[in-house]
Amino acid sequence: MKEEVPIAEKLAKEQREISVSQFFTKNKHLLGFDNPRKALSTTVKELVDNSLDATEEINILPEIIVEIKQLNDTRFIVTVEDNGPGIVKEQIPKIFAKLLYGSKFFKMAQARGQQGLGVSSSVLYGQLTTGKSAVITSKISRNKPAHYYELQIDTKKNEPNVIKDMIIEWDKDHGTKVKIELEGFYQKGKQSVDEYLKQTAIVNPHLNLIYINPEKYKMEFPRVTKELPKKSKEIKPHPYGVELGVLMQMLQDTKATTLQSFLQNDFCRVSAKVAKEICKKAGIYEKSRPKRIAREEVENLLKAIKETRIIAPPTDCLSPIGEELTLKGLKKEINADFYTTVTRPPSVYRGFPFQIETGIAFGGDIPKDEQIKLLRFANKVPLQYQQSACAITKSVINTAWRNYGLSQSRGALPIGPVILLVHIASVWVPFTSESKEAIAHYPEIIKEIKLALQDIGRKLVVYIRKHIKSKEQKEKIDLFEKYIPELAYSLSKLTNHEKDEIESKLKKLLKKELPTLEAENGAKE
Amino acid sequence: MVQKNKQIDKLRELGEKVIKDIDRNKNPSITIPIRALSNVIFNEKTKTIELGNKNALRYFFNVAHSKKFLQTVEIASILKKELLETDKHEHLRGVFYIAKRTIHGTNVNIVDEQTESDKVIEDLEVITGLSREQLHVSANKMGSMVGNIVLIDSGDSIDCSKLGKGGYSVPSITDELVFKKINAKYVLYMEKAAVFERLNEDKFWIKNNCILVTSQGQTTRGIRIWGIHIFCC
Repeated sequence: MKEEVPIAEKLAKEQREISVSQFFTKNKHLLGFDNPRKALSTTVKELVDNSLDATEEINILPEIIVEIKQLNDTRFIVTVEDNGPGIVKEQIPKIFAKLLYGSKFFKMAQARGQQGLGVSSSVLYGQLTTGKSAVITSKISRNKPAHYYELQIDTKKNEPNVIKDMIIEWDKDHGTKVKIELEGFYQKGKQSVDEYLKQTAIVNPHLNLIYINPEKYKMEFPRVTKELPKKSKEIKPHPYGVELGVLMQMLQDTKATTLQSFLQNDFCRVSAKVAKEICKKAGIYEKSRPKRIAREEVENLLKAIKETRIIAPPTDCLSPIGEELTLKGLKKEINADFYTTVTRPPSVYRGFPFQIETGIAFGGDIPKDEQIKLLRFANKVPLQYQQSACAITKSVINTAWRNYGLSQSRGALPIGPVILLVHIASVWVPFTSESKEAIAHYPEIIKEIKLALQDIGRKLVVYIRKHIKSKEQKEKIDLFEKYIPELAYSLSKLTNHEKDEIESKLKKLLKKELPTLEAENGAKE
Repeated sequence: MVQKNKQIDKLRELGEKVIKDIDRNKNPSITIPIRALSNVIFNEKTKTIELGNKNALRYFFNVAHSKKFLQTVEIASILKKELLETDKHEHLRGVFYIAKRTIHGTNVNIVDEQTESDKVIEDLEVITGLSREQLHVSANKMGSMVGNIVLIDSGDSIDCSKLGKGGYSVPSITDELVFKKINAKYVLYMEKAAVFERLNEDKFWIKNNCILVTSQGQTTRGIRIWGIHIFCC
């Protein structure tokens, strides 16, 4: 009898490791490359976001040049050049050609990038659709040479593949230039590259941006302030934001020798007293070595943390745009009659500090009878897709805009000549997916957004009432002139007095009464 | 005709007062008794509810009043010129049609809805102290009457006991009816026309010596006024 091979062994032969790059090759949509049109705008977005983060890191005013060249119907070359700090030679291949490699993932600080996925996934997408390498030029200082790289990603190993590595001349002090060739589709209008750049210019008024579109048309988004945004600070995690697995890892990685010092040093807002209280509640000796704490004990520790009152994390780590600069940004890119902005005080969800800002542009060129245009931003990055899945949209819909002078049907965005900007700044923005398109529905976040919207709604309604009422009243005063001949005519019919005589007397009277009428107007406002 | 002069004079008075204000270089105004619950008094003597003496002023040079002011004067002139002086009657709807036109050089109408002109006619009633019918604005004619009563209506003598199944059709204006002969003990009034027809069929008014009146629904102003007159005589 022939011995049968157990099925499990057969199956075992099929089990293989999957590299991240291979995974994303199959799941392009998770990173925002669902279709050619979106792929183009996502690529531009990732590159520009990185440039902005880089310039912010070294406190200089960003100068960014974006160029999209169209090779044929579906083939594009995207080039983004910045004046950032540049990248040291050794890091270039890994940053651009290795997925999930970056500096921002472990940092508790407000930044546009979070995961170390954006640029490398654009490189990967370009490589998959065109087979071409990504071209990177970077220079870190005037005295150092510029490095020129042509890179590909080894999709099996998730490692960079250096095709070319040269030193070249570049007449720039420092900066980075990235060129990616990809399959895409260029279209104007909603969710386009143009729209993304325009919105970026609104929330980054300190940015000077030059954009050359595929039609070779050059657009400039000039800088309106030399004031740099407040630099975001890095903070330690807050105990409330930590989860079991993370906590276990932190216990393993810590340099502290006792549990108490671990709690005090590796978290923010934990004093000696609070640390002792946590240890006591968890029933763990405070001088235990962190590395030797068992899993069950970690669970107790986590429970103890939740039961202990700890002050909210510091919020000075955030870098909001600020009411004044948001106002400048709106005025620069949108032609309207009235602008106003609100920046809420910072708040906390799950141990992460966050802050909500809103701005409104009303009237002017904005269409009157359509739903308002909602511009969503997270850490100064425009969110263009999945509007309906986003916590911001939900909050806007759930706000009673009728109280604020706009009409609104149930479960829909309000209607009126309004462009509404909502920005959430946080050390960790909770996106619903890796492609960073929509914000997750945390009740604390929704509540804060609503409060911000109510604040700004009150400012809006004051303007609307004043504006519309005074306009109506002025029209009414103009009507008097038209009423006078009519009244004179009726009176002459009623009394046999001369019509013209009454009319001229009434006209004289109007001149006398006009100041009172206008004063009444003022009083009503 | 004597009576009509009184009405014309009352309306002219209103206009003259406005002219006086204009001549004195004052913001022209019209005084209107307030028609609200706060200005209603129960008169113990007559056992009726009467209007108190609170007044409101309507100014021409006032953003909120001006259009109403214009409407009031315009409709007063219409009543005087088009109805009283030519001795013609018009319904509320008709007055509305006469008044509805666009003010020259604007897209604003003197009146947009009939409710506006109706309101103004009510205002004119309380301003002049005259009823709408006296101002020649009639209500819809409705209702019938049978019984041992002889009336004079516009010079025609009408015997309400000889009018068959339908009876006498009560006009909208009953002020000018003259009771020539009444030979009945009481008036039986009913809203429902069906009941009226049945009682008339049964010749109920002959057996009980009464007058039967119906208004085919809510009592019309004509029948109310007629009721007051017959009660008084």
